[in-house]
Amino acid sequence: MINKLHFYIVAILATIASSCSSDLSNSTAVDRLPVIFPDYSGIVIPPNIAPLNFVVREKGNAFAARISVSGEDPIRIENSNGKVEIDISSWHKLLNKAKGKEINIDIFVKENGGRWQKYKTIVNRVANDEIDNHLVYRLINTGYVMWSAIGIYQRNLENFDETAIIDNKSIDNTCVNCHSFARNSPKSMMIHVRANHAGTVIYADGKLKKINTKTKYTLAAGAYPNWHPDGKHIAFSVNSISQRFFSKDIRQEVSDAASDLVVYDVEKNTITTSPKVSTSSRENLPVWSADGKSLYYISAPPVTDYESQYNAKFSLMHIPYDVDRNVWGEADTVISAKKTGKSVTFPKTSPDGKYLMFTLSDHGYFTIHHPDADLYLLDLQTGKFERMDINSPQTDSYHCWSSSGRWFVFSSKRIDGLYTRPFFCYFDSNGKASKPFVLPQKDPEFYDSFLKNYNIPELITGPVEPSALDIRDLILTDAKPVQLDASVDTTFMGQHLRKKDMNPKPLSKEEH
Amino acid sequence: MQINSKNLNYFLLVVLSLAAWWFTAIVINPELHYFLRQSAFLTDSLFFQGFARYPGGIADYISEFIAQFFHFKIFGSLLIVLIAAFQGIIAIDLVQRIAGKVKLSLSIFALILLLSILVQCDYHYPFYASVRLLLASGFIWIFTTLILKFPQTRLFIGFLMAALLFYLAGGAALFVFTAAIILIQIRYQVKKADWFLLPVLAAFSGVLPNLAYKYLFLVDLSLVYSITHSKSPAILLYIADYKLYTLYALLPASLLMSLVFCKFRKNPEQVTTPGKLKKESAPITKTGKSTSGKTKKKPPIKHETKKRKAWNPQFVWLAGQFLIVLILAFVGLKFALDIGKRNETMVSFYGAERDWTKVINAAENLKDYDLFTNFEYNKALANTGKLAENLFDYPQLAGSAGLFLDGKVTSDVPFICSDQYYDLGFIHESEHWTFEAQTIFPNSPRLMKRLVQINLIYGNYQVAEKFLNRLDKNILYHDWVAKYQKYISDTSLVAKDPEFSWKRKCEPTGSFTSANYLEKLKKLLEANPANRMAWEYLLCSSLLDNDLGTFESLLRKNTAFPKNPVPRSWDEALVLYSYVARKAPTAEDVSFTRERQTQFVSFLKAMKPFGNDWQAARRSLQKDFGTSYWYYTKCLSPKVTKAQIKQQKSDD
Repeated sequence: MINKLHFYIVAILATIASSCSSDLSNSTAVDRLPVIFPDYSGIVIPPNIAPLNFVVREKGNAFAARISVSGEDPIRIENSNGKVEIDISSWHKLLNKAKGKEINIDIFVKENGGRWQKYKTIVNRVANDEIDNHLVYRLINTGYVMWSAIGIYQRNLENFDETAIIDNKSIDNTCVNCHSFARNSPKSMMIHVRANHAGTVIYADGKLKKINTKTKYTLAAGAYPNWHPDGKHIAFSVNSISQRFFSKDIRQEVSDAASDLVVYDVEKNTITTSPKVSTSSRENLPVWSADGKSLYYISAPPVTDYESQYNAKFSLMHIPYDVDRNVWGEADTVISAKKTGKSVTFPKTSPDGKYLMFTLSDHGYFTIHHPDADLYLLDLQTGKFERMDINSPQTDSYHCWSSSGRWFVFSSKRIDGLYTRPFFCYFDSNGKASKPFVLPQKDPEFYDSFLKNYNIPELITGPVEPSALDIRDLILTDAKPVQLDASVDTTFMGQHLRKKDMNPKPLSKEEH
Repeated sequence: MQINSKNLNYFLLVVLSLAAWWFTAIVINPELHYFLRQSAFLTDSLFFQGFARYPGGIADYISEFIAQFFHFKIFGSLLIVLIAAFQGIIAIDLVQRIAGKVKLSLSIFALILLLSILVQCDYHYPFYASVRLLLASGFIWIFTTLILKFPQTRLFIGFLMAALLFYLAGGAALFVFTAAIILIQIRYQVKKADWFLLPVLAAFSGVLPNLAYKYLFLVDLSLVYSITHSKSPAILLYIADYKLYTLYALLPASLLMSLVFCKFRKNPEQVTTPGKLKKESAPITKTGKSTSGKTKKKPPIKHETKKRKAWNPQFVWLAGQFLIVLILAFVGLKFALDIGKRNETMVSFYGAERDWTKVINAAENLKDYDLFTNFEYNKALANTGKLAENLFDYPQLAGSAGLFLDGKVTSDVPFICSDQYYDLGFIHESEHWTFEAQTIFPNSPRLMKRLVQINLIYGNYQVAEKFLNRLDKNILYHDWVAKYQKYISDTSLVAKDPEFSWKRKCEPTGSFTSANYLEKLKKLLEANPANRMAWEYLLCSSLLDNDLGTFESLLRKNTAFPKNPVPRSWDEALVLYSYVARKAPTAEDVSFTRERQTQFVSFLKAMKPFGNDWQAARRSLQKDFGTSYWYYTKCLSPKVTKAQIKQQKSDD
């Protein structure tokens, strides 16, 4: 009896559903792809990504979308506003069945009194490899000197949940930046805090601590970080940073009067450096090789005048370093700025150690304001590098590999030339990247009016472990000083810092 | 119609409310609040989510909705007064529920109204503080109503409402609520256990914000306890003072006094049961229920008529209250309202509205010097082409620092720098300052409009549309959006727009670092030698720096603008240059007038007795020469006075 009743209910619902949806079979074909925003056409999709909601930007009064995988029931959406907002559970069921296959999106548009027009089918491919399920980024307004609301957030990529890791409203509106993780793991994390409550928050081995990485014999507190694969060491650059404003496309130029490299030992709470990475040149943005046996970093000649400070061209360098024995090798130039005539920045090694992705621009290293900044890929086995096909005429800059190396995320201003958004690409075994797609949002028109930038997108394999409340409470405490490793040549470092101190001083805020 | 004390009371309440409305509209002017706080209410869920994340956020959200109407002087004032009046009515009702008919309703109402207006005299006052208090008052009223219907659950209701109110309106509203309901409970409590639970309720309210801070909300500790956000940028910072604290304390204090009044009342039978007051007076019992629901109304009319004829004491009492309220209002407003500050704000407001005549008039009528007024005055002159003519009609005590304020980046300069560089046609620089301002006012309609204009000028139509979309979520700007939406649909309209096409001609070319405004002015003139505003600013800057050599040189090299007639201040400067350099200006066609030369001779004669005593000279020569460049160089220039003009507020 109950089964019969169930059958009738289902039958009635199905009848109602079919009577509500239009007959799309009698449509005329349009020989082009429909315009949709965001552009989710011709891409490779992670099998665990949130629904790729979009809006159809074609003229019409009725819109229909049919999302299907061969042999499966399609998802059908029909409305008058053109917004294709896909039910999350139906989407994941479909993606699950579509692994390694193609997923088709058929768009139908009808104007008042007209017939349905069917555009060419959008064909995307669903990868077998999942993407790390969380993305961490900082959200910030487009200010240059001032800031008010800043926060570091994590977004679950399998749905639309966004939670704060830290929001500066809870810590006296201070500045937070440079979040970093060891091998995409949420178990090892660090965040810098500037201005009030300054220090570096470190989470490792299930414990949170706040440290002050400035020592008497190092240039400054640690700035740009990179975790060693062992999760016990962090390489930092220490920078004397300043910024200037320009009247044209590059609105703001961040540069250093001086910079060196240091390595922090999380367990021993010590900082070490070496004359080999604390030279008169400007060593910056260190990144560990995949095996953790060496560091890649960028380097520019010493500052001699303002021109050399703001228009510096950085080379890509490599230096062996044994973290266990604290022994440094000899530095080598991998990509010379003199040869390329350009400046390398943000080197990132792939997890399999085969590639190094970096950003190349005309000058400088802080390229988020450089429209000419593009992503390049260096094959570490052959030493050859090339511009990636994924670049746009706008800024394409900061990037991060997924833990598997099959995906990467990067910052791009390609949507409007003004706001930075995270884009994802599939990276196949041949070293080819697929067409980028932007972080999906519940409201497909989200990016039309969202006025904050996504800074430093970092992929991680799960949610950050410590709670935002714990991080807030820690930030409000005093930072513990780090110790200088006994092996550091303090005589050399003392002389080195005195020399660097003689370099031209960066412009102060008032001078701007 | 017969006038009895009740009618008179209502009449006076209405009179007070109308007076408050008039005062708020005409003297305080909510437009200034709107202008300073850049209130914005957006209809999207993202905007709401920002408020839902912290205790008190919902009240702030409601406040943003209401405060956007401060854009309209009359309607905005009406809203302010209505909210205050509503609180006053709730307070009267609650007091009457506790103490029965008391004759202080006029005073209670008037005090709430007065304090609600007094706090508005500070233009940094965040209106959400009033909304939070209104919510607290409303909750107290609901509580007293509910406990009559469900007396057994009164404490449960109390705890529940306290927690809810804390989320909706924050810690300070919670304290008001708790204090009030404890007093109400004391008035109506029946069981001994309740006596024990009252301190528990108090402790709960004291601890709840802390627990919420510790375990629930990612906020600052001070936010959960204080009435206002204490860590705003300097331009938004409001320091709560005795007025706001008194306003918040008024309702619990009134209830406390009612309670005391009740205890010492000779005839306790006059006290009414809550909820029954409007029907009749009824004696109260410990259960809070009326013993006589059918008590007949007393027929007081005859009695009152007799008394009225012989100066009814109730009328006298009302008149006395009214008089005291008037005195308090007079004294309170005298201390709370800083007319000078208000007028300075007015100048900035007119400047933002581009009402240059009003800027000039308002600035000239100000008694005290103010750097921002000085700046706005100069900007108004520059926009009306009178900078060189009338520069010294305002005391330029800051020298050239009164022309541009972008020397130091603090929260009070980005807005005005954005406007100034936009006026000058330096769009990139204007954009830079607009974005700086947007870090503080992310949803400001004024900034959103500016970004639309900037991107239309740049030809970044997609970005312009983004800001139009955002602005369109603000219900007050649909017309403005509709106007510029047409520019997106038909981009040829941008070139046809005289303002935009002119700005496109002004933007400096090439990439350069812009360290100071002089360099920027020179770049503007390189880009467009016909940019008269940039030209006047440049020359006036050298005048204000007492740099006559540069001034004369720039004037001499001028080929873009007619050399005659020479504007007044430049004419005076040329005379002075000639006198100091002991030679005539080097260009034949640049010369001063005879009339000015004669005036200068008079000035020298008048100045002679004072020698280097510029202070004495300033007083004596002000009347005859106060608006001349010569007076400026001898008596006002910071190079002479060494004046330390307080530049900007610190944002530390």
